[in-house]
Amino acid sequence: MSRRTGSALAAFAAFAALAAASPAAAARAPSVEAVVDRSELGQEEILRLSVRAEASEPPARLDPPATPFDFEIVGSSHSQQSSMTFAGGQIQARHSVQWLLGLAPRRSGTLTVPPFTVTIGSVRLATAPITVKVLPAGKGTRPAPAAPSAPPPAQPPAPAAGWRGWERDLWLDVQVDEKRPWLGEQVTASVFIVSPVGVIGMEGFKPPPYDGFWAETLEIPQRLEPARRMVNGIPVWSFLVQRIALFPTRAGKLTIEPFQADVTVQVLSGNRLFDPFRSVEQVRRRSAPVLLDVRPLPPGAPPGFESVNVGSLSLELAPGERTVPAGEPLALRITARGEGNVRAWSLPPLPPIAGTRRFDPASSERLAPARGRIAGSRTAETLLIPERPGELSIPPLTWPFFDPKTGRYEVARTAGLRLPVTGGDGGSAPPSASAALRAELRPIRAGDPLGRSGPPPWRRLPFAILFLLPPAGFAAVVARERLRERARLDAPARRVRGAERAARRRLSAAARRLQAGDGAGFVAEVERALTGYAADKLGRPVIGLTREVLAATLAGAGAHPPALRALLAALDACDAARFGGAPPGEPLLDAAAAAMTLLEEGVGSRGTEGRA
Amino acid sequence: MTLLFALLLAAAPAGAPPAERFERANALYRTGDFAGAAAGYEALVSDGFTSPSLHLNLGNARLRLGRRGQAIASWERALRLDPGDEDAIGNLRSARRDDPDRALAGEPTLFARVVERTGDGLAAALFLVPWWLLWGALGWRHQRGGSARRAASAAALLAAAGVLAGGALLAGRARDRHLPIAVLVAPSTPVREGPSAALKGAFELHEGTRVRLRGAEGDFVLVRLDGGLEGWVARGDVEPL
Repeated sequence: MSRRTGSALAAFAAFAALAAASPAAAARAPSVEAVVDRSELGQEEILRLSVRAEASEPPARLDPPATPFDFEIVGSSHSQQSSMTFAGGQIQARHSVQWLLGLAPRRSGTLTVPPFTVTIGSVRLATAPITVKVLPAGKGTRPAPAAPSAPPPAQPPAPAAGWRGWERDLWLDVQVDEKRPWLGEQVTASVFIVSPVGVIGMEGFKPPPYDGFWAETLEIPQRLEPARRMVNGIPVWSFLVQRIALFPTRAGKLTIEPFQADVTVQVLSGNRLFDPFRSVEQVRRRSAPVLLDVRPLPPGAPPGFESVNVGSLSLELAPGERTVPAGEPLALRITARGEGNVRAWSLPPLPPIAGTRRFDPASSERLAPARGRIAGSRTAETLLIPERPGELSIPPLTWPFFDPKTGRYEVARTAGLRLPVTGGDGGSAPPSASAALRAELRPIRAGDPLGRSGPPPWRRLPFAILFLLPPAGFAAVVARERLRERARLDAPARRVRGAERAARRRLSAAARRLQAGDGAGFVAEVERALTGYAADKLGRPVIGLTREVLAATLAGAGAHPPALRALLAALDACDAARFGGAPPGEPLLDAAAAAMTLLEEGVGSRGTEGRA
Repeated sequence: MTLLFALLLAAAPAGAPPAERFERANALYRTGDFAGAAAGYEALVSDGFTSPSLHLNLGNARLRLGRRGQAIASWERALRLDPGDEDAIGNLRSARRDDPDRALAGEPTLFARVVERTGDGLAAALFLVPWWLLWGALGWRHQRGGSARRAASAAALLAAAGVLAGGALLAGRARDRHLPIAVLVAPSTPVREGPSAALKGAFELHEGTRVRLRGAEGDFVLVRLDGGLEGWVARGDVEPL
């Protein structure tokens, strides 16, 4: 075991470099080292203690001193590294763990960081105590936090340098995208929780009254999403709470008053470094007020301009229908679109139109914020009722507005409209069909082919066919397979059953040969009829069997002696005709037929039964 | 002049091709003769012709004449023929915006809405396609072995599930025809506990409300609302779809 105690910044840097290097100290005994990042600090600053342990098995735990000491542990993290080396033909593992602790001094003076204990397997190793000098608050080695010019009482300033403890470095931050907006121009204010520790919740969010502004909410995240942010070199978490679009309603100095929120954070509790149940704290924070210098709109506004019409805008005039019967309502929509304070826009009025009656316009807005800007459309719908057929003429409309992007006044224009008014029912529609409903009516359609109404598809023949075809096809497939299988299993029995028929066909063929004068063929056919019959009945070939064996086999199959004798006699007659010169003729045919008849009496039924 | 034109159009022979009659009715509508247009459309419907546009236009003409309930019935018919008909959907949405019976009528179930928005042809196809797949998979399974047989079994199970779903849809459509949907066409009608005018109305329904017809007796029909309320209304106060 080796121990080393360092207290200088150089030692810390060297140690950090060593920690980053490859495990050159493999195959050494377990070691524990502790260094701090400085030997002198202010009371409001944080001392960083690094403890590194190396061993052949993974170090398990770092325990802080059991009793309270001069520092409070305000943060911790650790990293682990393992390596394998070959030495002496063996594989050696080396594990190193580095813990980084943030220690906040509880008082000033010469303080001691007491030994921390590292457990590696069954071995416990302790670091050496380290002495540091803590200066009173405000006299630290780093620049003191810069105080804001006019901090509110409850507003902690952003950390200018160094860690000052989570309570002091957690604040509500309001950022605006424009400090000198035009009157009516959008200012986007984003409210963030900035915290060096994990934020797990927020309650009681209180926005200010927005005096002097028209406010529209742009974004409220469903949950707090952390984002990393550097504040004066210190990494902190930033959580967007709300994003608001503010439209100044008067020129001059305006203030966005403080926002307030109760923020719940999770922090380490005391010195219990590895306590799984970290303590949860709730603190109230107020943001700093934000001062805006709102510029008045420049002189030279065109006639008809209203100061609420600020933005990048366009104007459109559209009729509900291109043709309208006299006495029927026609909806005329004046729509302004663009970026700006949509709900506040004042749309141009519809000028008087001769020969029409009108209802008061109805306004509607559709907000569609895009890229953090309030945008959308505002529509004024006026119902006009032309009183007589002819042409309805609506003059062009003009609408002056101020564009803050260019800093100039512009005029949006629409084209005029001319709509034919057909003869109608003179507006005599019964009151149950409201004018508004008729105005919204979709136009009639033409050109759609007419069909005959008929029964539903499931009551038609094609449906029945399509319904029955698949099961019928399936049944056909199954039936065909069953028939094939049955035929395959039944082939021998069928052969036995058909033996006599086949033999008779051959005898008929033999008779035809005899009539044709083919004696040799006649004899051969008769012999084939007899031997084929025997083979079919026995279910085996009989060629090559001696007459005695054939007779014995047939006898075994049930043939009686007279039938056997008749068969042998017929076969002998065949031999005699073929080899002995006996004339072939009807007697041979008769003998063969008689032999088969006799055989059928005995073998016929038994052969079939045997197969079955 | 317009009147003369309308009279000439209305005098078109009923034996003319249906497309021509339809266009004539459209022309009447465009000239503002909604009564003539509605009569033309209704004649086509009574002659057995149908199309989403025909019912949409008839609904428009009826609305122009102040017959809101009948207009709704026509648009509902257009929607039954083409469940995606944007014009019919838009008109119905506008017509039902201030429906006084909305709270009373209740909402149809999700399944009922799906059934209603599925065309007859689509419902039949949604049943037949998995039906064929089921039998195909069974045939495949019958002829194969091993892993192919297992795959065929899985396919058959999936197809069977599709057959069940499609069958439910088809059954729903058939039920809709058996127990037709109707729309109230009278400005308001009392709903009674029995088929008799002597009975006091239990509650009142208004023009345009959808009901399901469950039976008829004499001059009354038994109607049921999606919310479950039932009662008898005069036969002439409803128009079946």
